[in-house]
Amino acid sequence: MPPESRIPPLLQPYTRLPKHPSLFLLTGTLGATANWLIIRFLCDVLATKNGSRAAENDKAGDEVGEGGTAVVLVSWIREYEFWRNEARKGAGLDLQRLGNEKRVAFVDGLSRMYMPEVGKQSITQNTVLTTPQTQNMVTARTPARMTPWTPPAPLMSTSEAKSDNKGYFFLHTPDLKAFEETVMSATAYLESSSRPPKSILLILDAPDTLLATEPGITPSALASTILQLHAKMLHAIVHVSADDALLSLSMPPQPLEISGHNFLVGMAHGSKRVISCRVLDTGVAKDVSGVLRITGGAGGGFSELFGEDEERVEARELLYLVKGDGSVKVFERGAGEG
Amino acid sequence: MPVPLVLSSHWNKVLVSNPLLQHIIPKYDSASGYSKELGVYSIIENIPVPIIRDAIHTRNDSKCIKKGNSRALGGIRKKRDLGLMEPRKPKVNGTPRPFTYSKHARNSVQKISTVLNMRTNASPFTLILDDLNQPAAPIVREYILRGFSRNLSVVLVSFHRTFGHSAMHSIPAYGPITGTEILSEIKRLMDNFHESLVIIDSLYGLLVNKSVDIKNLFKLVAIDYNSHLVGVYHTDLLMNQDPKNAYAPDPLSQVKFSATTIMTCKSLTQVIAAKRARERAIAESIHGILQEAEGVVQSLTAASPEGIVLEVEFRRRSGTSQHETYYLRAARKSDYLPPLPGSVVGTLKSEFIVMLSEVPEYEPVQPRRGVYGGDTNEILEATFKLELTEKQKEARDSVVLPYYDAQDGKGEGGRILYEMGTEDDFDEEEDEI
Repeated sequence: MPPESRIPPLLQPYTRLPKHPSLFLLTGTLGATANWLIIRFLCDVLATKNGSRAAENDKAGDEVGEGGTAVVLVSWIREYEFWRNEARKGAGLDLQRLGNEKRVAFVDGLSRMYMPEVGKQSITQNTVLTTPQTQNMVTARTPARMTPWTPPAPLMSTSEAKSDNKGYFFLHTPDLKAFEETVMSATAYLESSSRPPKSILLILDAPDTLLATEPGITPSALASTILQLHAKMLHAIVHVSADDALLSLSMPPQPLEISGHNFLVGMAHGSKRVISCRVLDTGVAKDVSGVLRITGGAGGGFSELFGEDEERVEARELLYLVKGDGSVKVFERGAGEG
Repeated sequence: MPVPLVLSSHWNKVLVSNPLLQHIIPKYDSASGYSKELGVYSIIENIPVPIIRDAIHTRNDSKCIKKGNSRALGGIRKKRDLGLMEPRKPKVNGTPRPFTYSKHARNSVQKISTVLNMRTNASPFTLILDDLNQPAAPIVREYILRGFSRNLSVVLVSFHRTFGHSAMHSIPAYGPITGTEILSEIKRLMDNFHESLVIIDSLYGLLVNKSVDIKNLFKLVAIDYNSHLVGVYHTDLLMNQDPKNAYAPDPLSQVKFSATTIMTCKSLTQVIAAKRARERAIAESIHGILQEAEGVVQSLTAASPEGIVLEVEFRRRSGTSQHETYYLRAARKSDYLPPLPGSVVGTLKSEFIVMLSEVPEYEPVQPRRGVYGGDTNEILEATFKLELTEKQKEARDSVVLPYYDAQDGKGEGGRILYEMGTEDDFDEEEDEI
């Protein structure tokens, strides 16, 4: 199956990145995460092999002989193995190969976060410590319809991963400065390719965990860092959880709730498209994983002064079903398998 | 008290002519305490005067109920010559409002036009309140267009947008820049121009995160440089209470206090839905984050690309304010003349913002409705007639109902008032018992 056809037809207009610089906001809840959606974005960007789609894009007047879009994927609550498996299963993409080809860089914000500074010799011990913990987290966040993640038989230690996989970076501290520098070095890695990418797509998976784990980080500082990175690249996709428990205020309001709310609302005010996943309002259904709502967001630059913005999407709601084999079906209400 | 006298003479005739009414209207003793308090009976004791509340008040309602009649409020009691009373003109604050709707609409559109086109002193500081249900982007874009069309220098202090139009001066305020630096940057950009338009795309960011005092910003832009300040405040951002400064007003109140015009952005779809709900007396639906369902960030009806509803509060120097609601559709290239060399946008051809009530979707043109909900000039389509002919009315009036018959003194206890008709068949055997 060619990777492009992994994106359901109804979803295709929304996973296509616009010509102009853009910031997209994806939200999910505990019962309906947007991982599969991130994979679809990866699929849309990385499936372009200077082939049919690239030719299609070139008619917009792009430079000839340049590479396509490269991706920096930063994940705070899911580790590389998860994304590698999901990408292989859901999109038929080999992240490892793409990493070697300098088209994907992965920034791991989970495995070594909050770990004591370790020398090179103690890395193996470190790996033993982290692995069981991360496994648990991964299974907990996976949608119920998907088969739980099973670790590959020869468990790759993180040190191996680093030496084998180029384009694999770690975050050691929640410090925003370090985060920015790591992303910049990941970008530098992608740009050192023989055919430097035309544009870079930055995908941030759950940056809101930083607000929870590090009380010193304010939502405005986090948003500011994200926007600064976005200004250096062309496109950015931010995945944030939108569970009520994280956003609604209890009495008296907790600082974390205010931070979470303000971060999400602030990002929505800056983003051009908001795609939110949530569970079905009417309860659990066998043939529906959740509801997908696509709205126009509040952002978008003023690069075009007149309202003839053909990239603007109509707000709409669709249903989706993530199947066990990682494929996704997206359909209108009432048009399910039945 | 002329009111009861007028009433009495009028009602006398009615009473004499219509026995039905005579009965309905209670005698003095049974009159309610309320009407006794009015003192009507004390003047016209001899006549059994009917007291119907409506009748007293209908002549001129507004004069009967005095507002602020309490002496505790101070002031002197004024005497008024009742004979010379004229219909009171509608009371207005400040300048009198025009009488016809079209004049009023024209006036209001004129008013918003001066603000949008940034005429001198029309509104030095315009505050735009928005939320995710209707972001301010359309109105900000309109401001930028009109700024360009008047050849103003447009400065955008940007907290959300990393890319803007090339002719605009963008200050990337989302970065590590401090509040003082932002102010000096604004100053530097305004220095070369006579008149500028400074747009802040998130006042929350400027006031809270960058700790800029709105007074300093206002003084810099509006007073020192005689330019225009437009600030957007996202009302859905929550305030974190500062424990050191717990009694200080929050930034929203501060900017509301100092703004000369306040615009609140609403989505047209939601405004129409709310109006329909009001008309049918059902609860208005609520939209947006934390309102619809868990996981919903933005409403489906949010931010329609066609246009935006603006609830505008104009503030005069005298302190009075005027509220109007407008509809601003998205600008088209044809609304502006082709640009002259050196400018980005040509001048505006004609004003296209309209009153909300002139939007056909909001107020569909309907035929006038009659009392029963039907069209007044159409005959009610039914299998029966609601109207009575004169003959039928007479017949109805002449009927003496049995209850009244019992009241006129000759009642004999439990007598059945029934007269046999020709069609009645009296069955003696059955009725014997």
